[in-house]
Amino acid sequence: MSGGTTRAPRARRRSLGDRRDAGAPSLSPRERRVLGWLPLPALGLYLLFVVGPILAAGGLSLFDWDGIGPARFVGMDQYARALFRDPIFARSWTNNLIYVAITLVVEVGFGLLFAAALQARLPGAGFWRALFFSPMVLSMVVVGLLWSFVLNPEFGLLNTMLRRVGLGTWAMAWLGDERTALLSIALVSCWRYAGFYMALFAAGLRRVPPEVLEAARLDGASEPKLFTRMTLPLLAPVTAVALLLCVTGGFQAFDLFFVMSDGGPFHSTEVPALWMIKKGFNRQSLGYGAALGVILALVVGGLGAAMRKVKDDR
Amino acid sequence: MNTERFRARLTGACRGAALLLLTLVALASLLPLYWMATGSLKLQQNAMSVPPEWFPQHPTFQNYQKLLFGSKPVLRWFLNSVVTASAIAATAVFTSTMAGYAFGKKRFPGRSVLFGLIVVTMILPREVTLVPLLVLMRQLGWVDSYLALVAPFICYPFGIFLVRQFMQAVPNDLLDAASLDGAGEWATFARVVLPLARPAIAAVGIFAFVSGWNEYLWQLMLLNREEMLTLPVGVSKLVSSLTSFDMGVAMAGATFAFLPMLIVYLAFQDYFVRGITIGAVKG
Repeated sequence: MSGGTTRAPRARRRSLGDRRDAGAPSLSPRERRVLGWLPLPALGLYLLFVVGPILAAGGLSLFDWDGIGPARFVGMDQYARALFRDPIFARSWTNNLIYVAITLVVEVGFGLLFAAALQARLPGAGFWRALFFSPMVLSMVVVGLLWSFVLNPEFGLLNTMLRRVGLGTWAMAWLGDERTALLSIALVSCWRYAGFYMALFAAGLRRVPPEVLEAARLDGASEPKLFTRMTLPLLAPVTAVALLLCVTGGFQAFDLFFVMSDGGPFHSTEVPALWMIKKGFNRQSLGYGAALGVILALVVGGLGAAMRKVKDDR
Repeated sequence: MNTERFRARLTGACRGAALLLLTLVALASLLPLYWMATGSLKLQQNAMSVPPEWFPQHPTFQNYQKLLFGSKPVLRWFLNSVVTASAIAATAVFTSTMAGYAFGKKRFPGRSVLFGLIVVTMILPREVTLVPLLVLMRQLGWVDSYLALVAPFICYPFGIFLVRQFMQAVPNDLLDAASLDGAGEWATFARVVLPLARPAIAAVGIFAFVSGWNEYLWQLMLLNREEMLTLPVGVSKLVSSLTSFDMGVAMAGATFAFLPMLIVYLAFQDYFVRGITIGAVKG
């Protein structure tokens, strides 16, 4: 390898280091006073509308309360109920795990694939990028409605097309069938999010110094090898972010499930967030809903923290 | 030399395969949208025809007429969404810029703890805060008001994160020069930081606008009065109340709900990509 290519990444690293060290210019007392003000609006609202309600949910989960009358303190009983006496809650976690597994493979995988394909200096790269990202701006509700139309058993686009090409026996009630409902929703989610991961990976790829790849190319590495040996390792930090977002986001999935199936049929698409909302907005089980929410938050927060730790340790 | 030619051919094959893959996936992913958008322009009997009519033979705005001037105040919903999303974008830009600058460039006690907290809430399920937040809104008497639609989203963690990432990349010399010139902290902020951060600010504004527009659960739970509904909530309620005899109107409703975001996206595409680029640099 030539000296030029090894120098480039090193120079890059140094500039990143500088940035971190340069933290803060020294401050006069007057400046310190002003500084305290800058984050205040954000932090105040944050306390009122985020931290406050989280604490309130934690408190609420210890009570049996109908929203009006006196609340009865029940301690950890709501949690015991959630963990040991609620088979639907357990089922919802299994469903969510399957959903996250599918989205992880398909969304992140296709995202990477698209980004790599765009990297191949194709004609109209900007056009493709814009196109694949576009579902990201659609609201989940609209996406849910759109795909409910597409998956409609009678006049939906999918079944119509299947019948058209002679696969009529495959046509089915995609969202009404226990066997396909969860898979269908997971794939719809992939349709919406793959473009986001593509943009994420594309941003990462743009930061891979071309000289490094060029040098490896000159050394005789083939394109696929180049991708697995050079590009992928260089992309590792972005991949970590993508996985983190996909997993923590996946366990909060709500909108699509709510619009497309509302947990049915027979709870085959019940997910924790949806179950929690159903419980939390039922006057009989405000406290129980709060407990489910706290469990969900702990799991997601724990997963996020664990994944960040793994990433930082590497 | 032989291997070189082979490699050139291999690269060519890779590009061909990539192009093919992209085209196929693009077609597959666009088809449903196209089907719905054209379906909204068809008469009822044509919208459900088998096989589907790929190009509407008799395009009509009848469905839109029924949708917009029917029994439901759909135009008011649209206006509600515009007001809500704009207010969220404007206020989120304000708080994110100030906080992001402080987190990115200044050292103050508790900085890393506070920032860590904000990052954590980016990934925490919002569903958790829903019930307490609703109780709070009821106590404030804000149910069915724009205030309640906007207030919980003024502090926009992703925006703070984005501005902070951006500010960290701004050399300190620029800020130091301003303070050496005798500019106070506020003057530096207004005259140096804000103009510098314009790309990040624009990205925050657009992201906040889109997420404000698309926020569904909160709006659904909060709103009762029909004329206060937002477009996504109203349309989803409307569509679920329609029978399959009104499929054309349902499709018109869904199309009308996504068109504004598509236009925003096409107009500000670059900022979306830039926002993601800034955010992806350091996760």
